[in-house]
Amino acid sequence: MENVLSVKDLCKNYGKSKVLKGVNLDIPKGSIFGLVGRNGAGKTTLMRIVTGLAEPTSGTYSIGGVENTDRKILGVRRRMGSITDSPALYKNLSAYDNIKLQYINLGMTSFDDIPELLELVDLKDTGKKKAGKFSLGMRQRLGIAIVLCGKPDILVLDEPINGLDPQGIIQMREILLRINRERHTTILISSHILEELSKLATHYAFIEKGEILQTLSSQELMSKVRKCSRIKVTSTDLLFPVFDKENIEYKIDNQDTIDIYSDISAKHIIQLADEAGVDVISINENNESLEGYFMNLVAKKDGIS
Amino acid sequence: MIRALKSSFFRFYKTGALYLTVAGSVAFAFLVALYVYGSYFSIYAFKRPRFLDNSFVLMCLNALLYVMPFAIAVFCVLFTGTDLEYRSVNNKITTGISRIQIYCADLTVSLLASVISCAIQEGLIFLIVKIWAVKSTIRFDTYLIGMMITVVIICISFTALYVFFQYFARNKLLALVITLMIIPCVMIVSTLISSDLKEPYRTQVYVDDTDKTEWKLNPAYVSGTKREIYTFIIEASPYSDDEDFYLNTKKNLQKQSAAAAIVFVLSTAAGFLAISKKEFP
Repeated sequence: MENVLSVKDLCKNYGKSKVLKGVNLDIPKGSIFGLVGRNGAGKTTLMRIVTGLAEPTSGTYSIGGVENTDRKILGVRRRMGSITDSPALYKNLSAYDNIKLQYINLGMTSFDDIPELLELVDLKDTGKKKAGKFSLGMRQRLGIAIVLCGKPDILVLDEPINGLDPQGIIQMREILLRINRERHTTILISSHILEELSKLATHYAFIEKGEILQTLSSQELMSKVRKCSRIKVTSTDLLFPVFDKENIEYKIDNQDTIDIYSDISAKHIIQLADEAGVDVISINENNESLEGYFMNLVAKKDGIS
Repeated sequence: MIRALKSSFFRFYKTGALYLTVAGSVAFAFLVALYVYGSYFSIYAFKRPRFLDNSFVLMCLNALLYVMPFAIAVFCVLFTGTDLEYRSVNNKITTGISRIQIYCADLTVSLLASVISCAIQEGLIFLIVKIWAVKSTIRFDTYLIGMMITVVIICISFTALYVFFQYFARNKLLALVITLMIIPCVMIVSTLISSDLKEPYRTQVYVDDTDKTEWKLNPAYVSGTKREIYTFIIEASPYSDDEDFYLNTKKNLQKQSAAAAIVFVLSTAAGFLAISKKEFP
């Protein structure tokens, strides 16, 4: 598969601190590539470098086959849209003028598509209202509209759903899936909300302490994630001592839900719950979550090092 | 470069920066004329009210040299500083506009605003004289024209310096503080140097415990190369005391313009370096 963005041995140091340590990454054309990592893992730095906002200390990257050291990279960047951290908007301009300015930045002379873009992100009724007076969700959507100017081939989105309400998250997901499907736009996206990311991404890269731990497609991920029994109980607190005594591997999902990774029968689980004086509400077979997989991966790395 | 320029001009027009420049310039011109009118008749007490000549215009132009840099500082912070604060400059970088082009476009718009402002203020001062004066004897001699051109050149050099500080400083507030402090600092340094230069060669001192005095060499007298450097600084600086203003000559105006041109070149070169190395958040 053709790669639209390739990163090779990329390093970034800030003084003595090594933020990226020889990152290698290939992003296939048409994919939605999820970058998963904890705070300070190097996701934003990596995105800032590939978008030209920061220079690498060493290593290279190429966009559409053009290396960053090549002068032609400036031309290729026109085919790329990005949001890093939060959307960069002129707060004293309207949504229409913000988009028009981006058209000018791209060297476009026709502004006929602006209403269509505003409609896509549901901002067509904002009129002359200044972007500074927009809600967070509206700003994020305007940010998406700005990066979609000129129909880019690749989008780099750093935490685009940060701070959005549930409805905003669903709207954002639908927009991203739509442009990926209809325009075949490649998307490199990072998010702390891994459950949301798992609904979008076709490929993943797990990054920790400036190093890529693993890259894989969503199909590969599905084949690698462990099966678990998800039990819903009246109280989880009383169950922990029993599970610990029996050496059962488990993970708490929330106050009343536990994922059990050990191979034990439903009958045995109910028995243990009875011993602990806890009622079992339901037992379902489930896949390990993306979050669980990532945490497991990080734990393994820490264990090795 | 065209993209960068179009983008900066769109912002100049759309964000109201252009109107702010024009309105601010008109207001400043009237304030300066009013202020100078008061001083003018306290100095030239023999003149009849509203009899204005070249010295009135020259005093206005000199006053503009003090006021304009503050106005330019505010403009640069609002125009370039806001672009950096909103991180909207990122949208230009990520669309492949080179950093130098972004800098040049911002500098071009700021220079244009500065020139527009100078033109409005200088023009308005002549208009005020024309309307206001009962009798005006303004002559467009070479010194007056030289002073007008020097004001524009000095304003241009300040613009370049201030644009550099927008990219050099970490945030808008710091950039504003630095830029607003430049003029007072230059004034203080010029005044100190000027007073050092005015130290007499010999001074009268008392002979030990007697009423008699004798002339001795003044240890505070600045001599040699140091004096030459000090003299050059005073002649090249438009900011010193009133006495220096009245001693200002056409030759000094040339030195002031040359110094301003050097500041322009150095600050633009430093600005190119600053934007090339800058890590955008």
